[in-house]
Amino acid sequence: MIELNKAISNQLLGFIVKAFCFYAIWQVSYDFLILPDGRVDDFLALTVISGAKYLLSILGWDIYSLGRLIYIDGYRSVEVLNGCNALALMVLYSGFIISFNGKVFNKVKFIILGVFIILALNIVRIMSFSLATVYFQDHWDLFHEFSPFLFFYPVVLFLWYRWTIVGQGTTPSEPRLSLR
Amino acid sequence: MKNKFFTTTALLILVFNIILAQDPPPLPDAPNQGPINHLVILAIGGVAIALKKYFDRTK
Repeated sequence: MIELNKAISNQLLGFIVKAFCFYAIWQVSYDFLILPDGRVDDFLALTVISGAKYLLSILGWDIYSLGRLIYIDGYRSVEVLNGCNALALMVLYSGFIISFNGKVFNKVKFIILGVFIILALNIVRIMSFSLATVYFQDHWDLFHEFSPFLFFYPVVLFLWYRWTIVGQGTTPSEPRLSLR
Repeated sequence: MKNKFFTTTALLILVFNIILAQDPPPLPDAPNQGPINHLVILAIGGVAIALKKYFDRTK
């Protein structure tokens, strides 16, 4: 029992150290390389803009974009800033998956899946911001402030939770459908 | 009268000089770069999930 506790303590310490190192390396890389270069931030922002524009136009909205701005004709525009492109969230999500124990192949699968989900959610979020300029402009700031709690955090927490279960192949036994 | 005019003029020049010598108003701040905010709360949630997982194993 003592051995088991020790092993778990070591794993927990390993998780914390790995996570700390990962985010430290990320922060330095972002501040000194990625942010000055700007291409990653631009790519994400413009992808989100084009996705939101495409989906809103399919839904019949008269929508336009200019660089990082997106606006519905006759209403205020929404700008996707660097902090709005969900890059930090993608990195935070990936950091947890990388730091937590699990098979490398599973980690790669989970990271790719999660990053795509976050990107898709961000497109929906920017769509909702544009629609918010039409329907409740007065409460736009409040909606903007708390939108991550609505769109991102429940999903990310759920994915993390799933990773702690399935990442190491410890899926709890689930009832199986039977034809009998 | 002449002395009063001179004093007033000198004071006006002095005040005007002080006003002109002020710093220009600061430039507007950068826009809020952290719309996806409260990431710390999410990180705490992640740590809580990890702790739960690790401590569940001890049971």
